[in-house]
Amino acid sequence: MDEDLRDLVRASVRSALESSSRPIGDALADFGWAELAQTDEQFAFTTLFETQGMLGAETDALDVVTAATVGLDAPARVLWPLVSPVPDGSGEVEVVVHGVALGHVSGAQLLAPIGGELVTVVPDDVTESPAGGMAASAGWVRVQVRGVAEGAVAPWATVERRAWLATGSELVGIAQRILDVAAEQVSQRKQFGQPIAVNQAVRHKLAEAYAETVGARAIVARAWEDGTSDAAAWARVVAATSADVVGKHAMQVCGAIGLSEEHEVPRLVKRAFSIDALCRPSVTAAVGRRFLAGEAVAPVGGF
Amino acid sequence: MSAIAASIPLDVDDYRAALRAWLATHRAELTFPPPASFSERMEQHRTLTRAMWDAGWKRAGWPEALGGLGGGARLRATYYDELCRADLDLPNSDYSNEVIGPAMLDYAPDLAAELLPRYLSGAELWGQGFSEPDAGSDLASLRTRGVIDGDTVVVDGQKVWTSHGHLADRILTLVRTGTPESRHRGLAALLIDTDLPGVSRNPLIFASGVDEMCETFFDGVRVPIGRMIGGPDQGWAVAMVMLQYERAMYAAQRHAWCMQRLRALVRWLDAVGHDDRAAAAIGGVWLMLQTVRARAIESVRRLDAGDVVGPDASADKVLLARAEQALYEVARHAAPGHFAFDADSGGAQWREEWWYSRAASVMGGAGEIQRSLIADRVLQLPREQ
Repeated sequence: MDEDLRDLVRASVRSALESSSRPIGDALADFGWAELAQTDEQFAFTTLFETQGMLGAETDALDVVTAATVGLDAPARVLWPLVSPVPDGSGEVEVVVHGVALGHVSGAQLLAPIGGELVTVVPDDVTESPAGGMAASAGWVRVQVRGVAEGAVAPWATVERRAWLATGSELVGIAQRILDVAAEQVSQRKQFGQPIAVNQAVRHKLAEAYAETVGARAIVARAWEDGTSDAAAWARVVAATSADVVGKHAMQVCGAIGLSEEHEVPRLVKRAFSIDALCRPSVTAAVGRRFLAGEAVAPVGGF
Repeated sequence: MSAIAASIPLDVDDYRAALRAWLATHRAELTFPPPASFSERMEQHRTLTRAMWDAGWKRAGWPEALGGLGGGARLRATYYDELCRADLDLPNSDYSNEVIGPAMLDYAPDLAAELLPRYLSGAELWGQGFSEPDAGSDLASLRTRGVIDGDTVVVDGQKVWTSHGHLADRILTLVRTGTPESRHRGLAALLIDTDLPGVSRNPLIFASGVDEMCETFFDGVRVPIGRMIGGPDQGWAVAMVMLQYERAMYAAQRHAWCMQRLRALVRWLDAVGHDDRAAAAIGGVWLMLQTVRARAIESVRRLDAGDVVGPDASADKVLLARAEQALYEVARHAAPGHFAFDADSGGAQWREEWWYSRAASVMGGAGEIQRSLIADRVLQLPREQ
């Protein structure tokens, strides 16, 4: 894909995310995002989710791309687990599924990870409550569904890997925006007759935030190339850790105003917290244990 | 040479597979017992380098004019990656090959064709003489003088922290050809043979007890002007090319070596015992190293494509230092008693390397300088008025 076309896609994605009047799924369909994802999945996902992160946009794009990945046309709601792995259970049996949905579930096809598959759940009883907390502005809901698991749509690993990379990109975008906001603020605000930014301690914190952000962006990109779930999980954890560090450094250098509700940084930090809680891989100690068990763990990608 | 050239593939994926297979068969003969001294370690490195050059693998990615097979940075990065993966000790000279080689090729191609193969092949050992007692981070303040006298440059001054300098046959040295105030504009790069009259060296003992660096004194050393790399005021430009390659390749090399050390650390912890927290700490180091790797892969690809690797590469150095230091902190905390006191080669080795890990954020551009470079050149934050 040439650079002009890439720029066009970036602009289209940005427009789609900035427009609050159309559901993101419709806006993406307008310029053929799903077809683009078939041509260059890494570019499509990375552009969509990094941009969403940078804009602090709170859409259900993750559900939209998941539906596209598994070949569903109808709007879908995935009951995202808060922590991987997923509960047991399969087949046409009654299931009770707890998860977080990106919006209300009525009217959508319900999907849940069960027994290693992404499964269609036909609900008998649905209990929803606002997720609140860090996701208060996002409209997420905690869901308990009692129903029948009707059939597997796709292996959960296929969905999970992309969800990790998508949320990883979003965390990178959030980190980037936080860094940009903080850099702009410290460059403008003056104390003792100089911009706050002239102070080395402040410069170094933002330099570290920069290193975190570009490192996270790079490992997400390599994880796409690598193709393994391992690499995707690692990239996702690094992206979350980096966003965390960036958020803290930014809040430090932005001073009191950076801790007020009206300020953009805390809103982005809340978004990062929420996304990190979604479908979160638990791999750091796990990979350590693999090393201790004598496994030859393969690094991500090659030159 | 043509037999070697024919058998080594230059497609990166094919090269990687072929080298990996060859190393699986040959690594035993390239593995040495723990060296008793730094100079013994350096000899082992030279033996390894000679073997890999003779077998052809190390020639990949270097120009044919130097006895190489052609191809670019990706092949060289793959070479270092596979050596480390095979648990071979990455020679110190491989790091400085990357710093010195491309700059010499750019600014003194004839000299490079004549002498560089001796360094690349392990026939000789070279060092880099930049830092001085009064010029560390502020390298442009260096004072070692180079006075042009006809077809000779007379060098007087002192260098410090010259890695393996006391064992080197030649030292690439930055000297001041301009006025004392000329800073970066009045510098030249010289390749100085250490057996020239007036060159003397004292080993410096690191906190680890290892004498791996030296101070080098130049007392009226007469260097043939043909050993100048670039013009008499191009020393800084040469240094900038060296910096460019070092930025891209060092992280590629060093993180691969760190992954090897992480595997060795796990084996040691398995032998001496550790607690449950070791798993999370090891995993944390792994993730940091994968992050460095991810960035290094991008930088090497850019180098390979002939693109400039810019000041954003300071981010890679920050990430690498963090990872390397975290690795050795695991050694310290996961088995503190063994780490602190064991007299056997396990504990002693980890102590020695722990000290060197503290240098990861000091040598080759201190961490504070890297952060300031990011702030100044990448983030372009306003400066003090």
